[in-house]
Amino acid sequence: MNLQLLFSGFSTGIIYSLIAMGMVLIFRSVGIMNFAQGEFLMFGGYFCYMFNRLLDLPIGLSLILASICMGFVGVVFMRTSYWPLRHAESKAIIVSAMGASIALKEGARLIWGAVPVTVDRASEGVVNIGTAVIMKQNIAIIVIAFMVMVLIYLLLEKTFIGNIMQATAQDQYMASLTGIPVIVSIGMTFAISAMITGIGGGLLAPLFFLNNTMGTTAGAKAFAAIVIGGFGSVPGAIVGGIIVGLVEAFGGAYISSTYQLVLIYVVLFIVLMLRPQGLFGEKIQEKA
Amino acid sequence: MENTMKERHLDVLKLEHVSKNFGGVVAADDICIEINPGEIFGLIGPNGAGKTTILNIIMGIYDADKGNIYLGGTDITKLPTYKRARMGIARTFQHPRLLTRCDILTNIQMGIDLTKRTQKQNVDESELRELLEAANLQDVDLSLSVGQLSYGQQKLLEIVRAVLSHPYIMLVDEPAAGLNHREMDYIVALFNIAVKKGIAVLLIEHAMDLVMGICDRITVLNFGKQIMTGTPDEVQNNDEVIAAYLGGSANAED
Amino acid sequence: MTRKLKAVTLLLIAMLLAFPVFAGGNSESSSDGPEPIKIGLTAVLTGDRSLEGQYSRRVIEIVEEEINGSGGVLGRPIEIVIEDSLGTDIGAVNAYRKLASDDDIVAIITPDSSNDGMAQSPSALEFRILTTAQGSSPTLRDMCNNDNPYLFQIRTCDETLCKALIDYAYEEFGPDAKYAVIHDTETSSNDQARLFTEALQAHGVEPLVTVPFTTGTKDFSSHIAIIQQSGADVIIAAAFQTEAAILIQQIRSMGIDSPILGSNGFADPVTIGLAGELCDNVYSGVQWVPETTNPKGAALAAEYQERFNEACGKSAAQVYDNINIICEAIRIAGTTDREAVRDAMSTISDYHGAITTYDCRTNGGCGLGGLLVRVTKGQAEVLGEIISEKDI
Repeated sequence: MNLQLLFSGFSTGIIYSLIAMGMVLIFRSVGIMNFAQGEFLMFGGYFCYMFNRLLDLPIGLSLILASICMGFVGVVFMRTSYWPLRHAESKAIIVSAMGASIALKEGARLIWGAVPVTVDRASEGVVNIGTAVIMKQNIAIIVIAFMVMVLIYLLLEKTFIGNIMQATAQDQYMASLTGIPVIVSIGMTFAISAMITGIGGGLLAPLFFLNNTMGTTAGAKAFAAIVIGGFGSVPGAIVGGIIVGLVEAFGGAYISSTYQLVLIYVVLFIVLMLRPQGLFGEKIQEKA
Repeated sequence: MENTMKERHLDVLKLEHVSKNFGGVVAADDICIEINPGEIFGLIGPNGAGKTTILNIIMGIYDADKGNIYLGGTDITKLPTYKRARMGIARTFQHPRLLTRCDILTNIQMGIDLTKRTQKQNVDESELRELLEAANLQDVDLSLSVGQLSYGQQKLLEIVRAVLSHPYIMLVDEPAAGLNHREMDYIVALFNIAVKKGIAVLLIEHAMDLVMGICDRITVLNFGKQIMTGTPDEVQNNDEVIAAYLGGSANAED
Repeated sequence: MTRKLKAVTLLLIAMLLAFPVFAGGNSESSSDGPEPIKIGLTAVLTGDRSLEGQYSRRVIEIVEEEINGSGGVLGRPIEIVIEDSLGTDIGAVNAYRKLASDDDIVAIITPDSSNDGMAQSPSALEFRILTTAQGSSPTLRDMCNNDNPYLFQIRTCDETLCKALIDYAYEEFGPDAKYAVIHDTETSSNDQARLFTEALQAHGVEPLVTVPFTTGTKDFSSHIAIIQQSGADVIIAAAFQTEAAILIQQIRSMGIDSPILGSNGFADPVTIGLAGELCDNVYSGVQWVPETTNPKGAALAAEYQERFNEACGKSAAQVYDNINIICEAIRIAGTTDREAVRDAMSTISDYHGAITTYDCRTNGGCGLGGLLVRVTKGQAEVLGEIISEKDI
């Protein structure tokens, strides 16, 4: 039972990590918590459904195509709900993101309807280890999410594009003085953020199914993951997500199945009491 | 070095009747400036005279309400900041703005990669060494994070980077502020290298001995108005300038 | 910049304008001929439960065509005016009051949630307007019976269905079967779990374990682990469609093939559409499945499938019956006077709808029955009709 819980908790957690990572990338870039990030998860899932179930493409290809579509969604989102307000107070941008979140939810309902749908699994069947039964999809989620994370690490740390994005994140004005078109650089950040979160949606869909409000709860848990891991820290977002997933699984089994969500916040409070900056917290950045 | 540079237009940077208002407050009023290649051009005036505003207008942070800006003869009045940077305007700050989370080399390379992408991808080693020596940074490990440099070193590094990107003109905002005398000498040395390369320098500075010592020409501003433009000698003997400085309430360095 | 801002604003305005077009597109009335009779419907058009709204809007198209095509009611066409209840009790009340303040509206239908219906109840009393409730909880039934003469529960009470399912299971699996209960903590699922448990206790059987979970839970591995360890061989479950499908899928993936006795949501076409053949061996006492043996219901299911290429959901069938029974009351009253229509409603004793037969002589639990269903090979199979009698 414990092994079973470990795998399901870990794989759900790593999806929270993907959402949290997307939020952190945007936060580092523009200093704003994107409260519509959960909706990227939902949209990514629906794009995957569109390619996989409506156009009958294989799931692997569907995930990749869905991710590309999410890149465009990310850019459009940035252009419509962040860029026009970039000189405004951060409050205004947060409210705009919340509005965008409603628009995305209802937009998805208009496009894909209100009936919940599903997509193929990346990997069918189960693996038996002793008495534990582990769904192969859980393993696939962990493997693919891990690959995505490595790719993003390489992109950000080892490539010229990564340098550009980091420079923009640290100081937009300075970046433009070195010849970086800030709008393109921020657009890329939003695109990548939406892509990694969107893949999570496609991976989660066969387990949790898709409906237009699936992103809300997942987004809230990802936010908790960010606070636990430390604001603005990518490794923190990843570890925080996994912690939230494991707390949910083990806490649900051993402490209370009704109050799983409460348990997450209890852990959050404990972390904040012992380490207010979060597990991997850097000193809070002066921007934001 | 000079032969690798593009042919220079007669005036590198030209401001033609540039004006800017902020909600009724005149920050720049009918400013006309022409800066020649290799010239060190001073911009002085009491606090609040509009010096930094002019740098920001040149950089495209603010749009001018009226007037035009030319870089090497090309009208850049409507261009976004990053394009101006790519065309050959570099800028440094009173308080250094570097990528504090990146190492020194990345910081140096950042500007060069983008502004000179089409010509040369990498920094010329010997040129870099020459500049680092002039700034007394030759012994610093370039893989260190920028945050480990002293304040003065960071300011020097900004200028090194600006020179390395081979701009037509560098806009330098109060380089001497917060620096000791030795470090000010390094700055002068860096300016000399820049001038030799034909790079013009637009300098804002409160330290009058520095300004009077190195500038070829100076424009004096007061309340957004251009009082006069001339050589250091002419400026120092102008009654209006003296009145502006003595009459101006606050001219303490900040 | 301003030009772009304008473009964004225009786009937003366009989207806002588009909503009422989508929402109200089916309530057009013909300009000539007699004034239509207006019936109000509060339904969840946006937000979490918007699937309900989709069913409602679509079935309205069918009902209006059917009734108006055969001469309407009292020689006048009917028109359904739909208002978004947002899936919250406050939204339900606001939508209700907006409809009720239109004097031409003869009767109003509540959303498919007992909570929303109960929230609307005081307004029904205040406006003195016939209100048919789609909720199925016993609490709502008692409220209809005791507190509000204007509120009719046009729905079979959960108590009837839960009891019928447990009675069947007790026969089928014998007195030695061991039961575990898992349920959503949301009000109606919570009630259903209680009703299941009480029905079991009536047979002298106590469930080994009861595992509650909060709405929106997606990963049930810890809950299933608890059930596994309890040693139960029949699982009783109460939840809405999506959670039901996830739960079924995860139970089956863990290699548990025990029978599942589920609430309404477990044999729903949406659930079966999501979880497919994994739903096999799920039993449920339901109001409605599209495979219904009721002739009116079967005709509706076929028409809906034909027109929208989608299985007819429970909300669609409910709205269909609610509208028809209101029209019946208007016919009996012979007028659209609100009081007269209410009085006529309480004389209906044997109305055959698409879901079941209705007896409205007492306000609560007007629906008399439902269907006992088992899922086999990804298809809901009707085992028999449930029918109860009303003590008058």
